[in-house]
Amino acid sequence: MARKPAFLLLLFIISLVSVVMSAEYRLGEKVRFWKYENGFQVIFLPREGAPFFSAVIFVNVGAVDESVGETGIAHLLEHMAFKGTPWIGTRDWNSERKILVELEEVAQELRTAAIAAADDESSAALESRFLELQKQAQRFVIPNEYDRLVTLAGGQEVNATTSNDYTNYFMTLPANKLELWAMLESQRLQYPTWREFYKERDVVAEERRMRMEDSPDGRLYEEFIATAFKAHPYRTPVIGWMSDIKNLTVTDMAAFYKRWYVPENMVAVIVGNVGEAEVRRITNDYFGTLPYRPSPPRVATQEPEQRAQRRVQLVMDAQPQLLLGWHKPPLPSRDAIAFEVLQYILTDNGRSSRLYSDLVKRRGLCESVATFTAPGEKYTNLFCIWATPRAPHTPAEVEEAIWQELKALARDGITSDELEMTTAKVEAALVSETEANLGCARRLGYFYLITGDPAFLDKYREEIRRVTSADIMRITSSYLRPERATVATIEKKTVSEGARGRKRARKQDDAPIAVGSMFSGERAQGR
Amino acid sequence: MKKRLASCFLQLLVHVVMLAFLLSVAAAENSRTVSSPQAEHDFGKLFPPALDPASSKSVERGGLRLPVRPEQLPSYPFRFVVRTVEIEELPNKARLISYNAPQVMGFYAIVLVEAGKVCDPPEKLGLAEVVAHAMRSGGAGTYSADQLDRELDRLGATLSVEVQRDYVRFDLFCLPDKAPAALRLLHSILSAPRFEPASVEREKALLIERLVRVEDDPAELSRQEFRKVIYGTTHPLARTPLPTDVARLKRQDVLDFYRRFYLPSATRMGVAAAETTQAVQLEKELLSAWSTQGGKAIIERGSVPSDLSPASKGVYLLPKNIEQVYIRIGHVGRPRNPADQPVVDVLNNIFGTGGLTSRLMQKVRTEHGLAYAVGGGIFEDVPAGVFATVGSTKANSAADAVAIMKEAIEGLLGTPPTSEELETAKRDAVFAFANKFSSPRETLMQYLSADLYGYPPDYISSYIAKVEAVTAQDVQAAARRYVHPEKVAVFVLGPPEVERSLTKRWGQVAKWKLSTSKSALTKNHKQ
Repeated sequence: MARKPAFLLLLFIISLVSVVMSAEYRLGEKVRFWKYENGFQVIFLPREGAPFFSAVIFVNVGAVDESVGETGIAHLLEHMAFKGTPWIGTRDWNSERKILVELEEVAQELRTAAIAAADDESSAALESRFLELQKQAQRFVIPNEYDRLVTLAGGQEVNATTSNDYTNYFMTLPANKLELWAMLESQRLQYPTWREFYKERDVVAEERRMRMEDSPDGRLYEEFIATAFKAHPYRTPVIGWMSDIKNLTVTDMAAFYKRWYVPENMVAVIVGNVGEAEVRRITNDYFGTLPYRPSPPRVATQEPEQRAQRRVQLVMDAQPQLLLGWHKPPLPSRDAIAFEVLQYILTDNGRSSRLYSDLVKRRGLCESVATFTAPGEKYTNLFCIWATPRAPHTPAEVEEAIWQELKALARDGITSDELEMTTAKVEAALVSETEANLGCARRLGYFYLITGDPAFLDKYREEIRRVTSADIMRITSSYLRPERATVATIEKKTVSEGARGRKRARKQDDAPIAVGSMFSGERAQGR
Repeated sequence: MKKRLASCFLQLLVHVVMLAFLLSVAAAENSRTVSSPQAEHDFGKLFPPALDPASSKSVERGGLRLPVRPEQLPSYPFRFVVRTVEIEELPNKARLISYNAPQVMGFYAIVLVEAGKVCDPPEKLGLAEVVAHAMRSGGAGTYSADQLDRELDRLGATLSVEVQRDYVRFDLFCLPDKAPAALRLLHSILSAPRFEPASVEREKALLIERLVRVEDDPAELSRQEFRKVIYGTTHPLARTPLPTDVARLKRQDVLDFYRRFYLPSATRMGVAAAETTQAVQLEKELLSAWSTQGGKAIIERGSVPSDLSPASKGVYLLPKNIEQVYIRIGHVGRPRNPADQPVVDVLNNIFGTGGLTSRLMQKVRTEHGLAYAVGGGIFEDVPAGVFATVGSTKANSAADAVAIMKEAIEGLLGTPPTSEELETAKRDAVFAFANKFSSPRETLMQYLSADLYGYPPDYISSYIAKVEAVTAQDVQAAARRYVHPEKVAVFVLGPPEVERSLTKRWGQVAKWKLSTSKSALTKNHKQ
């Protein structure tokens, strides 16, 4: 008993050290945030170091905001933002515009003809006119001029990504190019020309073939998500379904753009060696003056509670994989924070994390195992475990081992050692991720879009420290239940199946087998 | 009679009226399908308005007139100076690099050991990978495998191992206050690995699993097999282990390999932090205490295939049931030579590494919409690297894509770079280089690899000036020196049915056999 005060004092010193140390990394309190009258928001973090800055424009629209029949449109719009404006990428906008208008008219007629299954002759005439107009329009195009201008200005890491939740455009530039960045970005946000739209649509179709059709991982993930979500638009792939991609037109795109690309939906995040006064002046001139348009309502559909386990199995010419997921709430809820800790406990604490230690090291069942949140963070999402079995072990064996681990967690909770390790790992991971300006800008903007707090980075650390073993037991036992699970697997096609498969159409051969139906009628799988 | 006449007249009138009505409807229909003013008006709304003389030079927003082109913005001076580092050689020949940068938040240590895949004995392929990973996972010094993992994870440190052809890279990251403890663990791994038998066996099994799974990744599979096409399947720069090779490896092989290659004289270490004095002092002590016997091992890298491997010329198809075709076109590249690296970097940028502005992107993606990812360049190695043009497209575009890519290769010799291409490529090369020094890891890697490959001491500090001095004639001369369109091999990975279109366009197509059996290693080049 006499040792207790000394122990408590030691504990106090340890926690004090931990608080003092982490103060060095509290970037959130250095963050500046402001909003213009039109709703456009700016997050700015000044930094010393090399004379560069990174900037990200987040547009608060993603695949989740798409309608049926136009999946992939948010992503294709992101591609189109690199095609220029009336002042960039054209030799003569007024002449080019006339042809683009006519081209779109013919595109609409082609679509109508396709739906009506019009006769070949009239379709061929339209197709020929369409190609001719594309050629004519191309004469005015200065290909990739946007990219060239950014490159000439010293731009690096120039790219954009689209997720379910948002679209973001980013680059790193020399510190003396802040105004150039603002001019180019504000211009393409307000004046998209839809130049080379139909060719870019083909490029995205190729992207889909590469990322999804030819990738066992891509196909597994797509089937998994589509199985896990019944009602919520998280169920559709960000890149879109192939038939939707092929049917998108400029008319669809312009309507989507007009609805979602409004200043209120936009956040610029700037991190680097530039001054605040300059950032305020330039963002005010270029973004604060964008015309106001009201922001549309968000997705109201809620994913109904899952009451029966869902399973999907792909039998294909690929090595086995296993993907499990359970619905969980989004950040910044307390449970979502507890899931962040659970992720570290299971896999992200390194080689000593539970699943790695057990499945990869001790039992040799897996080649790798990872946990993550998908397919977005704004709405109810999934806590996922992705495991790659090691031959001769099967997805079923790995799944069984995962269930055992989760059962133990729900029953016994975690140790103080594991919590301490997690705190250290989270701290280090955040420093590593935010060391570079671009990584930092993307993390700040992402957290802001999800939580509405521009300084959430610091709060995140604090919240992580508050998670207890009881929280982990609670979320494991209440969310990670067999009847709430979605399980997707790739099973390798055997030789005899392969021989039979050659006689069938390959599409059918590789089609997923929806064994989820065996649990229909909300019959939970017992375990 | 009159009645009949009247009736006929009435009927005629009705028909005429109906005909007139039908004609007018048809005309109206027709006018809609051509280009009615109404339709143009509607579709015109999808696009930004036509520009008038005022709006062609600037845009008015919020009472401001904003510029629309980069040339209209004021030009500010920009100067970038590459930070220098301290390089020291210790008595045992280990080399130590330190990089101090006040703004760096974390602590970084990178170790390069000349013990990469090229060091594999021909009869023991895969050994370098097993050794490197077993060093990390098999315990070290006084720590068992599990204790070592736990100690690193408790520090919040990450220590990854990457096995390249020329070297093994150990990459340590932690918060600065954890650096001394983490460095001691890293040194235990380097100088006193325990290679616990269970870890060695596990690393063998994991490598076998990774080798098998390469077949699920068409891009990686095509990269791997293309190297075999141009170098020959058993060349040290192309060979890959078979699962059976790895299965045969013994723990004694691992110990022998470690003793032979893991020497202080083959080791370079770099540390980066806001303040490195203490870490460097500790590092010197640790590195100096590492003593081993025996000189640096001689590494067999093979010879340059004679006449750029004439056996490889032609078209090869590796059939696989996938959606896209993965195309690689090229031949053996250039020897490592720092003197012409700046001009080759500019050439590569123009040809295929310069993103959207490169010729390959411009042609294959922007102009023809055939691919999402396409690129290429001349890469260095000892005795010779690879010249490769890489892209993927849908199966029925395979022959067209090959034609366009081959045309781009020929264009490197026939079409000198325009002043615009040259200027853009030079700017990109300069800023890509400068941007690397924003990252502590990249900064260390720049200096470590320059040191590893014996580049002159001023290579890094003079690089930017050398790129800026590159002329169109230099680029042309480098292209003539290193690119030989008549000697290229075309390698296609894709569905078997593309054979017909490839044969029709390019003549005989040789079937490439995947090296899953020993016999394939010799059969491929006999075709």
